Amino acid sequence: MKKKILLVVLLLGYFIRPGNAQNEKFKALFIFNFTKHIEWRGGNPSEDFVIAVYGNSEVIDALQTIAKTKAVGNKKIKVVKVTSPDDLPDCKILYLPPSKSNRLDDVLPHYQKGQTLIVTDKPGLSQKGASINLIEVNGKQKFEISKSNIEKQGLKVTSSLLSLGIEV
Amino acid sequence: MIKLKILIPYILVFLLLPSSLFAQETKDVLNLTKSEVLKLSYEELTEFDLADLMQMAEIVGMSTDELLELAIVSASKKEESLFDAPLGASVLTRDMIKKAGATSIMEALRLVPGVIVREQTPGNYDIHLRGFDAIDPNALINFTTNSLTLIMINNRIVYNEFQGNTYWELLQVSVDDVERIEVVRGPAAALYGPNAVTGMINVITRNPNDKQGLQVSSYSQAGTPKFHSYSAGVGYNGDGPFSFRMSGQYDLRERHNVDYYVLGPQLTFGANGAPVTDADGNLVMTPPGFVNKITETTLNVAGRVPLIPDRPSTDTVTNVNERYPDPEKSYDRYSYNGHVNFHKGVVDMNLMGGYAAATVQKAFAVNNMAALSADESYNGFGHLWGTVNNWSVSADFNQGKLETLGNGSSLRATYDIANAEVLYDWNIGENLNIKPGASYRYASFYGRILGSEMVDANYELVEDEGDKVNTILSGFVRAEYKWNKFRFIGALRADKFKYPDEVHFSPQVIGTYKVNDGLMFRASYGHAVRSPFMINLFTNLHMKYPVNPTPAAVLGYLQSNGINFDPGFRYDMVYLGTENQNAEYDLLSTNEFEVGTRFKLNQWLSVDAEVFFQELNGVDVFNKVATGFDASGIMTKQELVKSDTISFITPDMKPQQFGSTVTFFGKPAEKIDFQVFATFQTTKVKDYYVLDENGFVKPGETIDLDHENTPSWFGGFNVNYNPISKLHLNLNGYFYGEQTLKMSNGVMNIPNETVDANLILNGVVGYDIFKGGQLFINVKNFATGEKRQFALTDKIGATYLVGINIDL
Repeated sequence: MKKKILLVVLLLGYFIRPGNAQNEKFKALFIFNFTKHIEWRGGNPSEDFVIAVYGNSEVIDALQTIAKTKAVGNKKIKVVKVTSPDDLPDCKILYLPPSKSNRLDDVLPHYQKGQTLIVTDKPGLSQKGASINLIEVNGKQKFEISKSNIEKQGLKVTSSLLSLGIEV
Repeated sequence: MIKLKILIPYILVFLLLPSSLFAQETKDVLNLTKSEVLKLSYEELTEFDLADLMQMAEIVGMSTDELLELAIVSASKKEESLFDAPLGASVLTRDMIKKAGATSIMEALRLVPGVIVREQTPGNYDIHLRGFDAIDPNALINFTTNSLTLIMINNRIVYNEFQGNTYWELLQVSVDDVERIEVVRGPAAALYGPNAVTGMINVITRNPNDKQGLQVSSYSQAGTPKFHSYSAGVGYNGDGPFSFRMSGQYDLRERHNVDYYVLGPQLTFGANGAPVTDADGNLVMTPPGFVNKITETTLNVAGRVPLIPDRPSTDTVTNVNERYPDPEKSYDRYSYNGHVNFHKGVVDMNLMGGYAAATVQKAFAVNNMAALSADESYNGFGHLWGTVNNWSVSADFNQGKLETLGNGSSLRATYDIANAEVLYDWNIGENLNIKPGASYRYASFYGRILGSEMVDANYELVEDEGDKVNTILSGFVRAEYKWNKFRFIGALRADKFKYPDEVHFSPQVIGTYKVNDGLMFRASYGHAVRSPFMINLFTNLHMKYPVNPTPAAVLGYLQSNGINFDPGFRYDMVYLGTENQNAEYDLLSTNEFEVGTRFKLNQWLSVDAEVFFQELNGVDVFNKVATGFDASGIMTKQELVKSDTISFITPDMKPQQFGSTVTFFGKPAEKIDFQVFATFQTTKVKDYYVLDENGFVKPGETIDLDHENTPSWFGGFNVNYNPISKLHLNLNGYFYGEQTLKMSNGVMNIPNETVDANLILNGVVGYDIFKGGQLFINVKNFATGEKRQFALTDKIGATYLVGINIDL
């Protein structure tokens, strides 16, 4: 009996070992990759490239892992967690996880023409002002992209990114 | 059979192989397998361009654990993923419910682990969380109903305090209105207040602000046996701060078999249609059982009502047509609601109102004649709730009427209930969150059984004591501290009741440890108290028995039932008023310990498992408390010699339950997802009371009982398959083990009724005819034929439906 239990524990340990949250990992990779296709103009070259995440999300851990080895241009990536509308920082990208989607209305006025890419994660938010909205289509991770919303933020977007996304 | 010890070294070697051996050398994305993608480091992945990343995300399958990532609010009074929820919890979304073809919110609960859902008559369900139904085999049938679970709509309490059950048919919202249903297993009184003893079910409705522009929806189906369910909603969310939605629903279902379980003995009829008598001329009685045609004669004898020949028909009636005006119909209801949202800046407020009216036949009330009663009820509500900065506020008002047809005023009640709550969400630094709050509840009921009115011998109202009111003033606080991978939660609630006049504390302590994103452990202790219900607080029966006459039919009844009421037979009951209220009534409470884990077993399979132990204290029993000779009182037309007073008492018995619920979530392929869950449990009653020969509880003498009416295993599964994007196939099932209802008491003596183990299989085939519009065929309970799912109620067969689902 003990051996059976041992076997089960060992097998369980093997299965558990990957400890993944693939969705969040790929979302973080997408967000990092967006930086290759968006042009932020001006700014102080010595400033960090700030990516803010509103609320708790495993995307924060994934972005921090990326930030350890990667930079945007020559800017160091700094990942910031936001807990309330009063704490919204100056940042290049703001990611709203699904659980904070209802905060979009609070966030948008704060970043009006502030050169911040607003990335959301719930269907329908492109229409409400998000620059890029991560969505799932038939079990596949896709993203909606709004050229006009991006330009409203004072940013430029490459045509290749527009072609990869679902333009709205 | 290969011996395990031989295998172990190989397994160890396999497990200890360096992961670098699996590393992928090539970066040709299209040729990568899932495990190869998973082996890639962040550094490697950031080198790929976005098109390749999208390809790899697809290979991995983004949705493997989406069911565990669903948002849930109820477990912590804040939004978090189901994976992180510190208590045993489940979430059911509207999409999941519609895909499974569930025809009501009640039926949808069959898709939730830990919930026992048995259909009594078509459309009417007995719903328990983990069980504890009819824990006292000495109880009446109305105590089989669940009074241990807190049911809410948008955090508005909807269980009914008259007797603690939920009138599910009076929910003013339908499946089409649901955003998601959140279920917390185990006590949650520290967060939500009284009655979250075995857990809570919170129906969250769509918010019109969630979607931009015009919103149109419908979820309607019809079929055979006669089944109609139609619902539709429309809403609009423009550029301004206001958005609104309104919806309505109509349901009509007919019974698959029109028979009744008659509780008392019945006359035996001969071939000539006349009652059969024995050699001494006494009527020959048939024991309680099912009759396929309920008649006035059957009811009269079974119900013993004719013993008061001059009772006016306006009160308890013997007319079967008044008791069961439409025997075929089991579920006939309509409801509507409207919801306005205001959202601007830090203000998010909602105003919702609704109304529901229903006539149903279900096993609930004690009508003393048949197990099924026809109930006619309605209610309406207004609810204002929302957030302003870190403040949450909620206020609601509910008004309604409950009536068991044919029972006159004895089982009729009207009520007004109001609630108000305020809560502050206070973050202190990064890791500490404190939520203090306060609430007030006012419940006012008017009903003869509560002693609201007294009548004379002619059933004329002679005294009106008015409404019976109870109030609860509560204060609560929840504190949560995060430290590394640990999360510690402590919550305490104090409830001050008007009746019983006491303060009751409900504490809860929880700890979670999140090893990584794929593994978490949790442990909790919780204490919860059940609400004081009106019947328990105010009902005392004074039962009187005449010496003469003692008709042959009554003698036959007494013999069949072994009733030792001596020398006559009860012919009336008088409801005592507030002067004799049970103000010292002990409240039922629970102590529960639970440990659980959630883990992502591999890329396509996740597990949620919990082990629990709970013990109830203060279980109330409706039993004889006094006896004597009483010729006074309101019934003066016949000689009275003996009377019994029956009231609620709390013998020191301790029902206990030990069990485990396991849920598997899987997505083995892109087009298939499934959920399988099962609960295994034992339920016992420790220190069950023993009655003496006169029907009184014997002090100091107890026995231990196995409780057989809560199934020892139950569960379900739900599989979705989309072979092509427009075609949706679903197979779902619900199963439970054998259970036996025992109801043996002074009022009725029923042979033990056993319900066999059962598997209920349902299938749906849906096809998208346009974006957001789907036609579907829905077949319910198609595999195992007609079976009774709940003792003494209907056999439920298959139902064949066609329907339309629109969500624009």
